[in-house]
Amino acid sequence: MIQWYICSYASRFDSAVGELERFCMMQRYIPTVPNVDGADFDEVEIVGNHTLVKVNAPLALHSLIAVDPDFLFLPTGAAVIPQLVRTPIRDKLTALGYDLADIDATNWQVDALLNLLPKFVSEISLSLDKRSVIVGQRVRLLNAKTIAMMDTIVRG
Amino acid sequence: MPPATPILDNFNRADEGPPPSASWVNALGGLKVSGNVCIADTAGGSHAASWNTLFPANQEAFFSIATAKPADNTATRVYARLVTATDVNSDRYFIHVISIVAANDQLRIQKRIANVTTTLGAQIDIGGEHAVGDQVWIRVEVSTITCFRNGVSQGVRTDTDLSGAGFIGLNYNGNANSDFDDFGGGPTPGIIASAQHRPALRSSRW
Repeated sequence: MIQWYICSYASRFDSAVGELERFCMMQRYIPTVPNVDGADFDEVEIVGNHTLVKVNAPLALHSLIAVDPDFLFLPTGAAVIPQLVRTPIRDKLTALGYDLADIDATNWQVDALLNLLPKFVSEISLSLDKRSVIVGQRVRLLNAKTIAMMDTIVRG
Repeated sequence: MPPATPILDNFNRADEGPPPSASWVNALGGLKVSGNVCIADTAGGSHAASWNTLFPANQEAFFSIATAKPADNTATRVYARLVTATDVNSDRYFIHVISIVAANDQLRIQKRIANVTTTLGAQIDIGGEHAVGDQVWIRVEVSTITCFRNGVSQGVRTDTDLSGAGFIGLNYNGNANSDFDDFGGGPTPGIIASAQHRPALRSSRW
């Protein structure tokens, strides 16, 4: 079962190599593959050190993810995002740095909204002491990964 | 399925290096030939060497674990699309071959962009421990990065941060007791590649 989410990246110290490693927070629910649930995910970076994540997992696992406040569920079952859930999505996206005008221009069409998100990425770099990740302003990603590419591993 | 590209260096010759031969360049510290395998120039720290040929964007790189798997809590790496041959910290994709203490060993598909390392997708649990003779390789075609172990795909990720030509090579990290053998790679056959990895478009609106 395919569902889409927005979540942040997190960082951990990889002691094997002595350096910081960034990873998608979806590893909270799908840390490794293969797994007994048959779950997997693919992600594409968006603005604000966050990712758009496409998850293939059983309904029970989706039910857990969807109620976790660190994950924003994007209802994609219909062609248009339902009116009732637009406010939290709008709030989250504008908080990340998306322009309200860009969001509104999608007319809440699922296709348009999903394709808007990967058009920008955050500039990232390590702090001078290499102990933290610095997230800068968004930059337009000219060769943005299309949503279709994510079907390479996460198939509906 | 074996790699689509040839072995470039089997390290079967008199000890030399770093780098292992004139076909290589040091990318950090250095690697050398010793006892017909490839090892770090000195114990500890990070050491890397790049095959000194710029390959087209669709490329792969592979190696075999020679006589000792990475010790627990250490890792080795094989990389592709490295931007600067002499700098392993320049942008690249790579497979992180990591041995975990008291748990199954892992492979991680990673990228390093602007000095930040990011794991793409979930970590790959190999269901046991890395072993001598294991062959690990990375294949990068267009926006698809695939990790193989012993001829079997372990995971596929998509990413577009690096799309151009680059260098391939090997990287040790604090891992004096592991070694490399039978390093290979090069440009992948494009027509086969695009047929294998065309995005599986669903019939729906995507």
